[in-house]
Amino acid sequence: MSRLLSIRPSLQSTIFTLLRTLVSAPQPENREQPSILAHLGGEEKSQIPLLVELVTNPLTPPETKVAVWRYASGVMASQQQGLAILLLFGADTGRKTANKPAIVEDKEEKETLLRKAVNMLLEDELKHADILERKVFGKPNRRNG
Amino acid sequence: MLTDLGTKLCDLFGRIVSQVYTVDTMHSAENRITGIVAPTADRILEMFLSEEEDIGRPFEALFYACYVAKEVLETNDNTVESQFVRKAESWCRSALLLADKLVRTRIVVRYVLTFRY
Repeated sequence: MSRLLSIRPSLQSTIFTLLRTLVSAPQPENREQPSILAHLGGEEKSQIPLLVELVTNPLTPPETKVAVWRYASGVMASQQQGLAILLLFGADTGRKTANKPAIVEDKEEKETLLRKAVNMLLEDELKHADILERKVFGKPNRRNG
Repeated sequence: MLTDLGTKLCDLFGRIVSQVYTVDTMHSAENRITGIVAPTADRILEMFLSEEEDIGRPFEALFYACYVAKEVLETNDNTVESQFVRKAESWCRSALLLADKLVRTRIVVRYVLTFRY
């Protein structure tokens, strides 16, 4: 499926929907959820940039973007800690990450899904900054000065 | 031919499961308007989601469709959308949709069973 994601854009939305369902499905008692990161077997290095590319590319169909964000949200809420770290910081998991705080990786201006999400939120919010400011704080103070 | 059959079966199984578990959810599966196919839907769920070794993990057959599609797409010249490429993609999409439906329905069925007892 990981390979299909990169070679067939028309299947991306369906694949992400299934992956989201799989990570969100409750597991039977006393059983841990299988790690998707382990199943990726090293292909995560190409999958994470693909996710970032999909959500930032204006030509990506809206349903694919929605499926990607929902998948990312499902990963965060599930027991997929390794994949969640990769999505958030784009950092390697394991010993390297243990010795190096995740925030250091983030400072390297990596193209991570978290950074993209924050940037998108900020850009979207800034468009309505004036309206929001007026709604929340009333009229701006600079008129008084 | 195999791709056609796979697509039809996936669509059919998915439709039966949907009709039984999404229509008239106020009643138990056998008392619904689609109750006549409820045993078939149960059998499909049991077949695909059972963890018993003797059934031979049919859920993996759905991923086999993805494998076939990947092989076809990688080996064929993608500049020409041949009929076989389209059929392989169609089978893969149907299998993915069925897999998604089965996993979602498992949650519903488990809830119903817990609720009943």
